[in-house]
Amino acid sequence: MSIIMSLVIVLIEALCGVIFFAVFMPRKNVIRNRTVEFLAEAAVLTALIFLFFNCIKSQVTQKILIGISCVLVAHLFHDAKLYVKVGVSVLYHMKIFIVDYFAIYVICICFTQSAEEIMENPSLLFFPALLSKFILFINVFGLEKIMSGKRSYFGFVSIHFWIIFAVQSFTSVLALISIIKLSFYTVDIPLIAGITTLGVLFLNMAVAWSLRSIAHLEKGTRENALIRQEVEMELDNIKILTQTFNTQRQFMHEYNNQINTLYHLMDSGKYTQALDFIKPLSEQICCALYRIKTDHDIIDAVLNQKDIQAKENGIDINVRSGDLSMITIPDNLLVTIIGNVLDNAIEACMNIETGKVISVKLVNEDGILIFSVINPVNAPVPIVDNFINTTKEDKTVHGIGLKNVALALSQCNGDYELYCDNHFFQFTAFIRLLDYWASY
Amino acid sequence: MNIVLCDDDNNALKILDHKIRNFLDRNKISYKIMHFISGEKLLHSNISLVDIIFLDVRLAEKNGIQIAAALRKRNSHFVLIFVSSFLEYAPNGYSVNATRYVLKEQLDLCFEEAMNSALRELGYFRTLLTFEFVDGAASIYTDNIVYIESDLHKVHFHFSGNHEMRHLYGTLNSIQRQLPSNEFIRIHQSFIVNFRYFIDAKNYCAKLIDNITLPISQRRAVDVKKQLYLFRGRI
Repeated sequence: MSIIMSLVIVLIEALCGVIFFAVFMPRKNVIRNRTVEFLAEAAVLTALIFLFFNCIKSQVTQKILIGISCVLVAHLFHDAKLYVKVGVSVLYHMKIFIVDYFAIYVICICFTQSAEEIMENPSLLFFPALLSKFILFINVFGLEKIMSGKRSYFGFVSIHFWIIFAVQSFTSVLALISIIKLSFYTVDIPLIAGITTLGVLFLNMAVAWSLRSIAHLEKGTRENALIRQEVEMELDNIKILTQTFNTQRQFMHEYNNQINTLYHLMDSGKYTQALDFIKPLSEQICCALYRIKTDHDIIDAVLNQKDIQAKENGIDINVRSGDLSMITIPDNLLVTIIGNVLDNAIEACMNIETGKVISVKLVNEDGILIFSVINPVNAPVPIVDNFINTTKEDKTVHGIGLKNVALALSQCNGDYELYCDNHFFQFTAFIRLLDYWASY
Repeated sequence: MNIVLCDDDNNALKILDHKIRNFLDRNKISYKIMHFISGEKLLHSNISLVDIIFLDVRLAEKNGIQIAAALRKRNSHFVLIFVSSFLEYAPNGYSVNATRYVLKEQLDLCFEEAMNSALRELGYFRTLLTFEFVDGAASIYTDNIVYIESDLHKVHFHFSGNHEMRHLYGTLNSIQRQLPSNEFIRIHQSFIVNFRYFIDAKNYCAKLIDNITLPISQRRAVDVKKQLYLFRGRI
């Protein structure tokens, strides 16, 4: 029975160790399947710790050998420098040491038992050890979430799920302490108490794995939403292109007629009339092809496309821009930033009755590309943490427009600010073209 | 105010003239408007007292950009606004320090804003304040102040151009109360900065013209950045 108990304790400790190592050191991917690799690493570590735990009597030698086993496992399955592997192993053992003593301290306080009494009785030691490993697991899992931050898939799990996990972890600790108290009364471990304790522990682990799965699913949903948004933008582009082709076709038809008229005027010697006829025509051609020009092909394409889209909805776009031909920001980022912000402005203008004018500033000033969009609004738009909540039904797709802009800006050394009063909404982005902050 | 309009299209000149008169009458600004239908004639005229030039781009002899470049060599102080039917010249238009490039088809939409911007550049909306400096009282235009720094009981005024720093005895709080709030911002307990010269804010540092770097206090950092972006994002 005691062997099974110690195996369970060592197994949990090894699982926590594997998670802990992965927080600080990237995996080598020695096995293609990540779950199999995780289990293999846990199995090797469990076997080594269990072996030294049961075969070596000297506490000091035992600790040293277990430490070396951790470094060895880290070396086999993780990619990092040796001093990092040693450091992480030492850190992990310090964590175990602190958590063990904390668990014993809690038991001593709660049940007025002395530490010596607990340490001397292997049966009594099982529960504090289990409580300790349980706290260790919650601790390591929490650490994994904190260290990975919003960059990893954990960032996709909502706070709601984390609260549920925290509450059920807390209630599990209470349940464990209750079972331990019950066992202390009998000064023996009833089998049912052992099974219940293990059940609570594995339940927590299952919840933790479920959270991981939720995180993966959420990440997938976000990626799908991104793709759907891109498809929507592509569809818009195709619509605008089709419209432009139709307009061009109409122009071609018109110009054919006009060339015929011109031919007849010149043929009949009416040259002055022919000249008068040509001048407004050339102006018409220039105005028809494009209205916004910055000498940057991608920026011009996006701005003119959005201008056509705005015109269709009775909205004017007033652009103040300079020569942007020297801008070297990746095209995809420019399209995301300019396209999304103008989409939002056009949409906001569609909800107002008069004064549908969007002002756009796109200039390179002092090594900073300033992109600003000002549009009228009916009522103040609530801004929370520099984001606005979408009012559209499909929140998965439409809520991420500004988030995509934020992401794109972060990839080209830029950031943005939002401002809104009773009448106007302003988006301003700074994209730093010269990295003059590098020295600060 | 002396204004020059240059366009080979008489009809366009009339429309623009009407708009300018209407705007300046409303703002009670006295003016004199001169019309030119040829760029060459404008080049040979005296522009030393001209405040604003409205210039068409596609003119018969030379294009408006070339004319503007030649005029700029003689006088760099006038405000230049291009008014054209052709957009393809816009990027080059800004290379001769044009304030605005307005499309004729968008004249109704953009005229007022362009005029306001021109007046601002000409100093029509400047604020003149009098301070009791250590070396005597002086009236100064606030747009000449780059930043103000407090050092114990002394307050130092740093000006643009080659103007020397001046100082007075007082507190930064009392100075801040006198300054127009839409023009200046307190970035630190010891510094007030003019938005006009404020280039960027990042990592609790403010970057100003001439590579001046000042600290931004942690508690003001978020608001300073927001206000700076709001100011520089204005059209």
